[in-house]
Amino acid sequence: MTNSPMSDPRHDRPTPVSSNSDAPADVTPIQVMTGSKSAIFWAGVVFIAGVALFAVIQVDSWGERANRLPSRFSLDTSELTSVDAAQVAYKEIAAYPVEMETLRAVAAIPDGGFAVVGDVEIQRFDESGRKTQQITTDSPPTCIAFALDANLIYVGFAAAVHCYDAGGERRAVFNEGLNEDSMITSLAVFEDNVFVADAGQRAVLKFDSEGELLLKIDEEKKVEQGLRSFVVPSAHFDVLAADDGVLRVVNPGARSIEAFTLEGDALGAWGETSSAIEGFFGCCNPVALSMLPDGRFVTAEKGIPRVKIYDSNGTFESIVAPPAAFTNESTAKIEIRDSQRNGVLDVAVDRDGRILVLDPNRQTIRVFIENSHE
Amino acid sequence: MDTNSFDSGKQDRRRFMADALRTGGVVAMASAGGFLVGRRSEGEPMVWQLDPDRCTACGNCATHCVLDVSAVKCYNCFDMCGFCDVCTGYFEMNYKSLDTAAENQACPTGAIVRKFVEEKSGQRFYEYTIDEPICIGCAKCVEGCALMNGSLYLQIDHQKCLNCNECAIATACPTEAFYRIPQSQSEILKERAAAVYQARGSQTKRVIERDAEQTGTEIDQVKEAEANELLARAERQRVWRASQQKGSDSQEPSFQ
Repeated sequence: MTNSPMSDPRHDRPTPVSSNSDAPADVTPIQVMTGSKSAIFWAGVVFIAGVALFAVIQVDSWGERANRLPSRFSLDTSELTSVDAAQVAYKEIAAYPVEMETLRAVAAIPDGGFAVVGDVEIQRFDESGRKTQQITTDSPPTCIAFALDANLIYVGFAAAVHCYDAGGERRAVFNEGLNEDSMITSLAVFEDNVFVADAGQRAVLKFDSEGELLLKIDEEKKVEQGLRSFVVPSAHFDVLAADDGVLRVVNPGARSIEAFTLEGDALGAWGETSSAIEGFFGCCNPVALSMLPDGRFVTAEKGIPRVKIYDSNGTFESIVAPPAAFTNESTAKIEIRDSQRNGVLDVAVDRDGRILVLDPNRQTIRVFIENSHE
Repeated sequence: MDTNSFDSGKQDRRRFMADALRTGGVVAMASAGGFLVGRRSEGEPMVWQLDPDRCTACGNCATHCVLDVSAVKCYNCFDMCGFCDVCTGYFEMNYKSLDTAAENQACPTGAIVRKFVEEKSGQRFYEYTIDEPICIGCAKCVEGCALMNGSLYLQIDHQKCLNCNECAIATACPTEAFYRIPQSQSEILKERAAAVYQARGSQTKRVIERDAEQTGTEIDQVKEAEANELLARAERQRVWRASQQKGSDSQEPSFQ
């Protein structure tokens, strides 16, 4: 507003005249600073904004460093999760999505393809990952194995094994020797025998093809042979019946793989407790075991998820998939919420020697082959 | 004396008395009603507690409590614990050896006590308990345990908690894991722990009832009481979680 005398149109009265009536009229309503004044002004603004931002970050109680604790008050898994790239001898060539909420186990089908159990379903896929069959079950299945001719499918539930024919019709139920403590976690088939790993009873049960219980490798049988019992702190207890006619059982609490004859007589054990890549980490690993056609072993671990290869004597050989392949690399923070924690891996080897890794977090079957393989 | 003014004064006094009586009656009735409503709506005291299923082990519990040593402590759900020889909650990730030397322990204050329980066919089992006064609630062990069984989790120790009107940790909690819960509930279990308690309580009841039937003896009262306690703990959690779910479904604030 100028200071020239003028009347107020509302009251038709003259407005007060400024005492400084001789001052020049202000023709620019906003004074714009130029030159060094402007530079100083904007430098000040930036400085104040910076201080404000710093203050906000300092009092941000939800930020990464909000707890103001030294680093020794948080767990550092970086040493465990980083691996020597030279040790990774496999590459991922495919990932087949599986339409299930919860994936629990994968098994190779002897005449090609693979099958996955989870939710309340069994799904069969061909070698290219195309779903060929779906069987709905009464309760959540936990594991699966195929007879050598692939005409019979054995599926484990909490306390029973169901035998289906190739068409998906249930033919038999095995429950002898299983009880309310049972928690079946793995199945293996060799010739006419079905081997059942029961984490609840900490035992491996041997059935014939009709479902008659033939043998129980439990604490009593192991102690008779001067062996350590199966130590199973969590419901991950794997069994493998390979073509060489030897039964291998993971003793997770002992971080070892134990070999038995088909009659349950101990043959030996291998495995080392260690957080290093050569050993098995934590309280109870590996969680899954399979065998390549040349007799080498494939193992999968939980906690620090990783898939590794051991030679037929149990000596560490190489890495199939490092922890980074299964975790979100954007954060090193360990997720402790049950609803957010990573699911546990399972492994199988198909007839072509491809390693099938069940990744429940991505709901896929991931396929790995050796780098040297074309 | 003017008789009209006398009658008028008499009427005013009567009206005043009548108004006073009416007002007194209304006040008395309102007071009685308020008293009765107040008695009916009087709830039990509420306390702060944190939901371990929402906790991310961020470490804020250790430093944001108004107490010098936080009222948040670590607890071990023994029914979920493997009593392992290699406990990832107890041992540092790069431990030198599996013993109790300070350099091998993950806990920066040495608050986890490792106690040998038994050796069973060549395998040694250990019990891990928390020395509460030393625990500062940093949750480093909770992170380690989560790599395996996840039996270690944080809870507020009500013996220590000042039950502030506005909990400083709750304000700083990035996942809003803090709740006001009835004092009688006192704890919030992991859902997995509640399921384990439910299963163990039910199984114990089945076993003692079957044993009593087979042997023709009375039901073991002590074991039955233990089973009932487990079932009650699980049921309290189920009810609380259901109420939280209902609250969130109806867009009611579930926090505080």
